[in-house]
Amino acid sequence: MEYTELHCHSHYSFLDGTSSPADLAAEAAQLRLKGLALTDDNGLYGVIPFIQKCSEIGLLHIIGSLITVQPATDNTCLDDKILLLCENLTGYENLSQLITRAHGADTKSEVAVTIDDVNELSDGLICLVGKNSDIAALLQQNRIESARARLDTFRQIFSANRLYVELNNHLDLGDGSLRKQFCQLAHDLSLGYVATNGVRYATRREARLHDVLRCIAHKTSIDKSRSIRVPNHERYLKSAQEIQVLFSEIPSALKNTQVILERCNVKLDFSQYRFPNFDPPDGYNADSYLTMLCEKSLSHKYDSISIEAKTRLNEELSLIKRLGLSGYFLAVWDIMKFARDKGIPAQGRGSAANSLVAYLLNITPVDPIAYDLFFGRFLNEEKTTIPDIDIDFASARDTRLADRDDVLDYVGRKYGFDHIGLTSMFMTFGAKGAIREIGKVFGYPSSLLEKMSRFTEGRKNPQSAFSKIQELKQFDRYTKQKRWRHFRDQVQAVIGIPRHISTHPGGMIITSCELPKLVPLQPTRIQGRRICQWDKDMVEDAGLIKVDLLGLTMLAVLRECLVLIAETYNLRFNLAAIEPDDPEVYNMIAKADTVGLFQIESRVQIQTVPRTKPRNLSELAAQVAIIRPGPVQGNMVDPYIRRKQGLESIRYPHPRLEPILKETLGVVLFQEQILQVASTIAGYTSGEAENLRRDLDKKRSKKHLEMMQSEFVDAAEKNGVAKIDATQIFDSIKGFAAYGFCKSHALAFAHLAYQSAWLKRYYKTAYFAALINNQPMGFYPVSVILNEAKRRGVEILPVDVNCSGVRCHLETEKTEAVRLSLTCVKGISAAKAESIVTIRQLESFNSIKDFVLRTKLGSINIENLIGAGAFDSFGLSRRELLWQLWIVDRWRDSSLIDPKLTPPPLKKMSAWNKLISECNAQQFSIDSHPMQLIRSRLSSEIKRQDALEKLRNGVKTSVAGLVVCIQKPATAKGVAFMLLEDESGMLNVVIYPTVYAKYRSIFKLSPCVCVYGILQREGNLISIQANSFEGLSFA
Amino acid sequence: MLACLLIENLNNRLREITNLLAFYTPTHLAPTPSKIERRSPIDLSDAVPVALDQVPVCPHCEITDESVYIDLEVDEMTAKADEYVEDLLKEFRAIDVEMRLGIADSRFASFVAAHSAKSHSPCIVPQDKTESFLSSQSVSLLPILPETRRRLKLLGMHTFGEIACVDSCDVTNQFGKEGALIADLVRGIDPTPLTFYQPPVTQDPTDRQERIWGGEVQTGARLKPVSIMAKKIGCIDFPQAMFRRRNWVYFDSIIDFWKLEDAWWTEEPQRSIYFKLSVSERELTVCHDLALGNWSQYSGIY
Repeated sequence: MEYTELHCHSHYSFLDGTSSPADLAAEAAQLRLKGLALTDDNGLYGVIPFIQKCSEIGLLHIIGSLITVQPATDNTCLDDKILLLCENLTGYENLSQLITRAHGADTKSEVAVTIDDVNELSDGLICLVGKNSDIAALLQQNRIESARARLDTFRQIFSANRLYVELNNHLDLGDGSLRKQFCQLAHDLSLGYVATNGVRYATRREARLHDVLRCIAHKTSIDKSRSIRVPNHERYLKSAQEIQVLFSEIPSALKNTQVILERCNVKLDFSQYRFPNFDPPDGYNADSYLTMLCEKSLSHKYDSISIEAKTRLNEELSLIKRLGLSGYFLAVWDIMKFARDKGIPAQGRGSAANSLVAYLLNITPVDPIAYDLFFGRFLNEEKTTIPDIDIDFASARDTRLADRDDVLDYVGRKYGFDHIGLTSMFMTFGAKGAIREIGKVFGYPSSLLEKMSRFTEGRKNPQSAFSKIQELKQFDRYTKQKRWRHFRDQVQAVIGIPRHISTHPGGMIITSCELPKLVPLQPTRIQGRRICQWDKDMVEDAGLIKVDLLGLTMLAVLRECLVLIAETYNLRFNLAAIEPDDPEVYNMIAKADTVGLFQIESRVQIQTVPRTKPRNLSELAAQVAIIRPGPVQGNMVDPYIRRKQGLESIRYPHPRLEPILKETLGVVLFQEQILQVASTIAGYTSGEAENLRRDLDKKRSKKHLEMMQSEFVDAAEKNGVAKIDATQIFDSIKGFAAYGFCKSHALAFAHLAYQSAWLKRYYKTAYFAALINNQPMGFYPVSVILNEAKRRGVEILPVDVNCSGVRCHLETEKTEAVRLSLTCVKGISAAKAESIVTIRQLESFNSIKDFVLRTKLGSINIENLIGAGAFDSFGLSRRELLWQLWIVDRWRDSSLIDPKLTPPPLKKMSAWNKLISECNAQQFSIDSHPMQLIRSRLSSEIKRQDALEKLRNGVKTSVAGLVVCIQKPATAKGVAFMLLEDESGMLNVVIYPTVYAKYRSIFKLSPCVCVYGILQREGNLISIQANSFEGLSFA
Repeated sequence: MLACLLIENLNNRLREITNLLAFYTPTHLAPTPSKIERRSPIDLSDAVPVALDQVPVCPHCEITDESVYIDLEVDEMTAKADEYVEDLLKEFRAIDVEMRLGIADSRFASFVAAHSAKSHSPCIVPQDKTESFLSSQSVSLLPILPETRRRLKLLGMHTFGEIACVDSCDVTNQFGKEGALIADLVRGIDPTPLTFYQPPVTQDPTDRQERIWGGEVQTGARLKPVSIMAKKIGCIDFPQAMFRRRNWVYFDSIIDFWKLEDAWWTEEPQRSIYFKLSVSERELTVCHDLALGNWSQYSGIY
């Protein structure tokens, strides 16, 4: 007998399923099931990969979902669920809309539809009512008539033709009698019945993980979880034979699964749902309007229009017209125009910058002709998918300024909120989270789990954490137990399973039809914003067009810096018009003075820019692109740097590649080069080359990779390239493809990097003020940025209740300085700061009492202000101010009592206490660096970083400092890099694997360490190769 | 003088300790002195955490979660305080209870002294040295709200001595009633009387019930092994007959059956199938333990 499983949950039922849709489909095929339905809880999250896998293995699929229905008012069941299966495309659209309605308008409402919703959207759906419905609860309570009435309600909605009773045999207590009762009801109402197994995992061995996930979902330990777990491990995908035995008394229940399979036939094809049409002005259609805009802009952008530009524009426009994408380009242009009109900095990035049309529409800042950008990477005749256009908008920390959120609202208003949705991301269990959450389930103490989490830092695999903990005797009482093994197994098993859905930082789908008909939408925490139930890959695979509207804080920094310059110096200029090759700016970059700059501030960038010394935008783009996993894996970093330094001659993998790789000194740095290499070496067309790049990007199986390589090599041989050369070339692009930048993207980023560097070089005070205002962002915490600013000669003034504003600003009365804002202090929001500023406009504050009574701020906020030194100008010590504050605060509501405020003699605060109080209040101290205070306690052998400049290469030395960050790149073969800061600067420390393993607990646990090692000098670049570490205590 | 004993895990060994203290109760205070017999340390070490009503009354002691205060000035003890303390120390050592003992002239000072003491080596503060002894002690020992402790530290007052330097009125002005208490305590003034130990009443442990799948079962309901065996039984092939003492016992039908898989993470995982059978017009539930292979009759409520 044949069987189709009609009730099956994947891991997209979030904590109520363990297997991926693809694994379920594969197991079903293995069991020789005829078909399989995917029916996740109130969701169609896994539909796309499920359909793809089913098509790949030839399994018939059914799309469905287990939908929660608000229970009828007269019964007590809180969890009323019905299974809906799509019979046809109308059914799919209705199911998608029902799920959207179930999720409601905000995250706080209960996920459920009303029976009226079901009634309205029942067309094309088959309904199964069974053990999960409130009818089962009524039958268990022996309320047969109520159960019959409820079932009859569904019968009226779906008719007997599309309503089935779902029978289970999970070997649960009471299953037998419930089955009999359901059969009787079905008989009474002339309904059919079907057997299902309510699958939660593909195979029995995943059942334990399911138990654990239920505990996580209910925030309970496994020992107290009986009531929320299922009683046994029978919810796995069963073969027709197993099901036949379980339902031996009702064979028709199996036959009906086949009947339903034959009725359900949904093929998802969204190709007709295009991007919404742009409404051009009268007299134009989309194509002609786009042409007009581009031609108009062409004469503005170029002093003299070259034939090359004219030809390229015509080629691009004709391709865009042929592919029907004019409306898409105009819609993006319209979004950019809105942003510009509102003063929201925005610029396109990604492969769109390869397009001259995008440049002429001011979507991207990069001139593709000047930089010889390859249009085929963005769009070509054979491209099977619609290209994404990614745009960065300023993401402002200042709520008074317009930013990306305003753009999203505009798009919603323009196209209708039912036509847009953000793409989602599935947050999966990582090693650290898995240890913490499953550890709690198994009842392990937080001390143990914290320790394990630290051992897992930066690792994908938790096994080393388990090994390390097992070595520690203090945890023997846990690690020697049997449950420890189970804990370890379940942690390993859960990694990669989706934990919950989240919002993608930028992806937005805009469609001409109502989006909930294509994919269910659900609310996010932000009022009015909804995400679709598919991530960006699923959206792309489904053929929907998306635009990435991303938030970029650096754009907000640049805008704010320009505003500060205008306010302070009355200077206004356009950053897009600044000289692009200013040697002073490149000199600054070459000295590694890049902290706070876009893309070139990281530890590795600081290490490499002094060696590559970029001198123009193209070289800066190469610098941005080179510190990426792609070039690192492709072994291209060292050759590039050495060739740039003139230490190695430039070689090409094949003479034909010289024109393509000349700009990047013979190595592949950009994605476009892969396409050009494929075309030149293997004779691929643009489309074939792009497909090759995409296939390499998608991390295909080894077998698939070998097939691609063989095709490439064969084609190259036919093209007259020796096999050995072709193989080497393929190997070099293989490693690169996954994580490389395209040149246009790197150039767009280089633009921003250059603009940020230019501002830092010529307006450093304003630049640092803007940078601090937009924290957190970038690579460094605010304390490091402040120290850097001071080292670069920028004066920083402390927070002052009578001088500071809502944002940091410049003061130029005595010297030029940054005055820190009130919002730098913990707990002082922009609204509170605004209120302080407004109140003091009448009269400055003159005492703590005056401040407390006029601002009505809470005492903790005022304590933090005191700690930050915001009242120092009142002439009292911080302890005296605190003494007064607490007394005033105690009596603040009693106008009759005038308490004595004069403080008794209190001990003076030490420099160390002051530093601690400032760090507690604002996470940094502008007066002193911690190393400055403990320097006197250190041996004279331990050097300041500025003293290292006098030492020669290879000498043994030691330094001490605060650990700013530790990085252990996957591509660095176990070598870790630490950035150490002291009162005189920052230093790179290289830690080899053996040293790392020996001392990791020291530098993971101590904020401040002493490093003993060997000084390494390369030109002006100094680093230490660590031999050993010692933790330093502040006490 | 007062003695303060700080005892780790006091509640876990309450029975032993109160027995011991009761034995040393001055005879005129003991409610039923004749019934308290001197036991050897070994006899006393059998205790597990017990309900408080099972321990005897110690009329000269105050017992809190972590400490015992003993009034050393009740009539009979005044003269023999040294001997009494010596005996107590020996007894505690004998039953292997970690304890720190402080003796001073006020309740709080004795508590602080106990904190300063080493295990089984008493810290005795002479009556005229209380204030100087207290001056170097940390404010963390003061019985005050965490918020008050935090504020004292922010004001740079880390020791009792640093607080004592500030005028009592100022401390009271700053911290209100708690300030007045602090000002007294740091100077060794603590008039709080001892609250002598009264055992509370606890619930009858037999009232407890334990939940199982789908219903409740009384504690003590166990699977009682009976001589029922089947040739082959399981979820796939059901038995039509069962074997009892070499005779086949036929059952009429299987009313229901269910499977339980639980406690897989423990040393005693459960994997059983239960069958509710109709046997000669009565119902019988049997359980097959899939891990051990044995059969039993189930007599609990499900």
